[in-house]
Amino acid sequence: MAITPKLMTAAELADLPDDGMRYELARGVLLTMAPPFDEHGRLADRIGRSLDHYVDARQLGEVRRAGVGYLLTSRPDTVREPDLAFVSMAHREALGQYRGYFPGSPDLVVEVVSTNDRLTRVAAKVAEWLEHGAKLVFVVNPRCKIVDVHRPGQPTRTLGLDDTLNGEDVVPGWSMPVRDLFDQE
Amino acid sequence: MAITPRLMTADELFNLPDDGMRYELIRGELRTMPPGGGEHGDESSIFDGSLGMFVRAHKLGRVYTNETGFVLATTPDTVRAPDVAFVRRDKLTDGRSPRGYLRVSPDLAVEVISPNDRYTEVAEKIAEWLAHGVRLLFAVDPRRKSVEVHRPGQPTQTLGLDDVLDGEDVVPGWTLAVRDLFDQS
Repeated sequence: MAITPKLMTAAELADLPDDGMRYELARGVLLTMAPPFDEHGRLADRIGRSLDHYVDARQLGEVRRAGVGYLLTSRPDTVREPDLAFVSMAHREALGQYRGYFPGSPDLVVEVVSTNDRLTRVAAKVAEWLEHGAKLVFVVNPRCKIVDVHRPGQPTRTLGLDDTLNGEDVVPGWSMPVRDLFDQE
Repeated sequence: MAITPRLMTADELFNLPDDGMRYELIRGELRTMPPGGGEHGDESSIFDGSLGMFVRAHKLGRVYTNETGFVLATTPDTVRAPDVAFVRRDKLTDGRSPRGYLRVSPDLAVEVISPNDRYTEVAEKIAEWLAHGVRLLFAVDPRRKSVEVHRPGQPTQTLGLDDVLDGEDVVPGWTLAVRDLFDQS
């Protein structure tokens, strides 16, 4: 006899007690992720701080840290959490009031890859962000010191230490040398 | 006291008894990989059939499957084994394969991604292939039914079921519909 697991909803996810683990919901299935190492958070935060300055001065939108969930599908529910996100002012205003998790994807998503992350899972997550409205996804790979830049329907560019991250039309005018991201220790 | 592990050489790797596991050597360090699943072998054999037949018919060189080892660097030694590799005829002595590992780089390599493959390790392997002379690399993701096309210094294209793999200037004239790669049943 096949056993159908009971699917969890976004509301039930939000109600889980805080036990120090990170959770996501993939089509109703709870995924548990160990808290990342120090370096992981530091890399996301470097991009975050650079974006903060730029975005705040120009009132372009909101830079959001990890710990915030995004509701990508309903029934069954998918709630994902990026390491860093940016939501443009226009996007935020168009949404108006909402309750619970942010509906849909942020405009810019940053994911920092940990040593244990499986490629298929990262690739599926990136595809999911793009499918649900992300315009720009940075996948930061600390081991190879590269950043993969994904855009919907476009080839993926791989940036090395001599290249520059660029906000393109999502955070117009913002840029950050890849070297500044990795070489600050 | 720091302990320096003794580094293994390509010759020592070649002489290991066959225990059913797959091994690679990364700068003298042995890396163990479990054998790929059935799905993994399916894609490799389709490449072997399609690409192998084309290459043989046009006497372009040799196609290697079953994780043939390639020595990419020496002292310390790095031996990598792609799922499928094509080597141009003029790079092989008398057009024949040597005994032991190949000391030339493949011109084309195929890596089939397993669900357990780590993102950072695959990225490192792809970067290494491209840095050592591979001109065209297909990373096959059976789970998403997609193929990433990597070329040195160029953006990565992601192909879906309606797209076609192309040998470009590496295997001129060879093509394979992505659908034929995944939909064999």
